[in-house]
Amino acid sequence: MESDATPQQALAQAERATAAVWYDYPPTPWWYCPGAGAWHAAFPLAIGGLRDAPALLLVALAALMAVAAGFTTWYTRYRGAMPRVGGAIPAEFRPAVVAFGGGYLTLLVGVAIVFVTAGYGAAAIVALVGVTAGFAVYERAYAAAAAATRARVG
Amino acid sequence: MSAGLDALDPVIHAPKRLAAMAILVNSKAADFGFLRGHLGVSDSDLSKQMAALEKAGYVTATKTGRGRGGSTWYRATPEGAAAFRRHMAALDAIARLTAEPAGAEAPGAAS
Repeated sequence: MESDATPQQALAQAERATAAVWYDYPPTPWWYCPGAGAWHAAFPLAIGGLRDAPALLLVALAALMAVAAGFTTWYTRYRGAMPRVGGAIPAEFRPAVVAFGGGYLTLLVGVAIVFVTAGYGAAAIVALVGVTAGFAVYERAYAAAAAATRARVG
Repeated sequence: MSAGLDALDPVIHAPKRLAAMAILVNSKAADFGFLRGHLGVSDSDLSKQMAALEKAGYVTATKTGRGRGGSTWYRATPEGAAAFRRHMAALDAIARLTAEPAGAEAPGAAS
């Protein structure tokens, strides 16, 4: 064995490394939240505005998916490591992650209801404002959780 | 105790490789710079540690781009993830065993 660490020290080291995937990240770009809001708002705009042009609608949806894929690739490289779905989540992040999931689903349902009752323009505005604000709140909660985790694991 | 020691994986037991595996098992992938920064090691040392994990079949490496913009991404294999979980379970078992004597004295001390 190459290690003289006690089992407790080795476990602490593994926990620190596990948490690093979550807390060790570069500054989030300023355009991330409004960009996410605009991307989400584009869906009701495309679906409502291009409902009579199915081919164009498909192109628009494919373009939005391509934008998402491109952003995910860029952000993963920018960050250096992305937490894996199903991986360990440090305790400090769980409330923010759960609230994000719940809030996101609620907002999607809300946008769908507005789409049906008030039209696609109103749904796009709700998506733009709701996602931009929601992601901004999540970013702050994430940063606070990252600071708390960093302080705990040293 | 010996069963726990036998379950320790000699490849993962080295502190730098343990930390690298903890990162990789809990991420989709991690690049060379992220691992080097978190482990606090030199390029050559990290290359050596990752080569040992690759040789054991615990990680795969993928090079993206060329020149200054290029980087190497590492990903844990299913075998590596399983080995890491076994190693962590063994460490946890040993940690509990070594922590037990202090707690086990309490009943005797009371009688």
